[in-house]
Amino acid sequence: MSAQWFEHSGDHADIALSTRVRLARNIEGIPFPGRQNKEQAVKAADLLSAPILENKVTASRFTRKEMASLSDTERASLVERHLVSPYFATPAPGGVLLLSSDNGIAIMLNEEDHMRLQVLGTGLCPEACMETAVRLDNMIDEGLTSHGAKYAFSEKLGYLTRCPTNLGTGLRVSVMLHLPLLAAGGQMTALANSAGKLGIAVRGIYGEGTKEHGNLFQISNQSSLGTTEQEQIAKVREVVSGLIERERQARKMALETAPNALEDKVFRAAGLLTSARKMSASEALALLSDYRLGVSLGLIQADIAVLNSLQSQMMPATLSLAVGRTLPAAERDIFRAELIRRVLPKP
Amino acid sequence: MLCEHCGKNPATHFYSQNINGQEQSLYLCSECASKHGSLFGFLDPLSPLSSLFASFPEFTPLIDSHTASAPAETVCPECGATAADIAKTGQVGCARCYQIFSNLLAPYLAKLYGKAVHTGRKPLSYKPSQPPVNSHNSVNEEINRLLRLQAEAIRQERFEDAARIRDEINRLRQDKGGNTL
Ligand SMILES: [Zn+2]
Ligand SMILES: [Zn+2]
Repeated sequence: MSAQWFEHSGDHADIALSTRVRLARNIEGIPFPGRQNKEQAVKAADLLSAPILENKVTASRFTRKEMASLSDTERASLVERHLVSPYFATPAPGGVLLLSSDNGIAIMLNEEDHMRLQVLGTGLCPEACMETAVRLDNMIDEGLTSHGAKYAFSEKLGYLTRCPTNLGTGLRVSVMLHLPLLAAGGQMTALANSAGKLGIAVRGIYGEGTKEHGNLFQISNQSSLGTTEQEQIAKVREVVSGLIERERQARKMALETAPNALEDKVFRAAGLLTSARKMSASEALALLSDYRLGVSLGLIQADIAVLNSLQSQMMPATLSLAVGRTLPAAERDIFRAELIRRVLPKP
Repeated sequence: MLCEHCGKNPATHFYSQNINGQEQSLYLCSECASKHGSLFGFLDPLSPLSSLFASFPEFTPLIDSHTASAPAETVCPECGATAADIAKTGQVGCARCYQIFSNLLAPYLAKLYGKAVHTGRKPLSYKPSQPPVNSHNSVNEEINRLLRLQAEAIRQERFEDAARIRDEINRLRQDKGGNTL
């Protein structure tokens, strides 16, 4: 198995788990998914995958997966690893995934649009992800031209999409942030509101559910029409940097005012994670949040990349795939605990 | 605070978005939140917030098919969509729909984007609707645009494209020479 995209650590990787860039594209003259027949869907998928699969360099890096030919568990695992949307996991005509060998590029064909090109990276790296996305976008664009097809585009509205909210650049930049101190301090609602005023959406689970979902928040641009790709990326980076800065300040403050409480929390989580014999996904997520905090503060020596890969490896379907059979929940918790003990260093 | 959808349970999930000054927020209880899929689905970077808002009708920005000046019986020749289809789903059927139903979509697009127009990237083969053949400045602009494309092609080692773009640049330069002399 080749190296995976998350086995690297990028800028601010201790707080920014991942960055994703997504471009929405459609082909002119073929109805969008939802109004196309099977033949048209297959044609769209073939036209869009040809440029990748006909080029020697990219062909060796990508696998074409027909969504309908995958098992339920395989599809669920793709969702858990955020490579495809839950919507795409229900097989539709012409539903094809082009997946790079490091799982860092996932191109969904016939999802909401003919193409959703996604590039993932570790840490805060929207510019690098965009560069890769543009290279592939140009390659596909040219491939379409050589097959007598072209992207649906209008001078005023930009790239034409099935949902008018994605018009313009068709770009969505999103960064997944781990913000345990801001969440615990009850600051996220206010911060999300001010981000909203800048046209940036903050999505997350506030209040009771926060901890069980690992204190994770998704920051992304809302509008993709009227500004350039660079401007959209810069805005997301600005808000994300601000949130990271605030989270770091809150951590510093907590270390100064109540170091024992913080250390206790981190080492309790580490103790449970590295010794428990049964562990549910939500318990693991909550504990991994504390463990990650400990690594970020230098209290625990561990590779952040290990935490990143554990985050998806421990999910139900992905765990079942690794074990090689569908696991009932109780058995899953045992395998999960075992996996965690194997990969996480004891503090 | 109570869930804005059912009004019964305490709200534990909060979402906010702001599109060109238009703010929307959504406070939901776990039960209503899970209607949209798993709780995890909410963090899913792949499902756009717009679809989340759309799954709760009271927050859907409605496309009003009555105020539209497109006759109700208009059908898109490309995909067969009608004004009612678009109003119901908030989604268009194909690229052509944006022309056929431009009157229907105009107020909705204005609400989303105001007077903004696209300023980002364009398809490589895209030619503006009114090619700037007569104006000296526009020819220069077009040459500059092609020079940038050429540089990009060279950087990406797409030498055949670079050569094709070079020929196009030479052609434009010759035309320009002919016009001015
Ligand atoms: Zn409710
Ligand atoms: Zn149409």
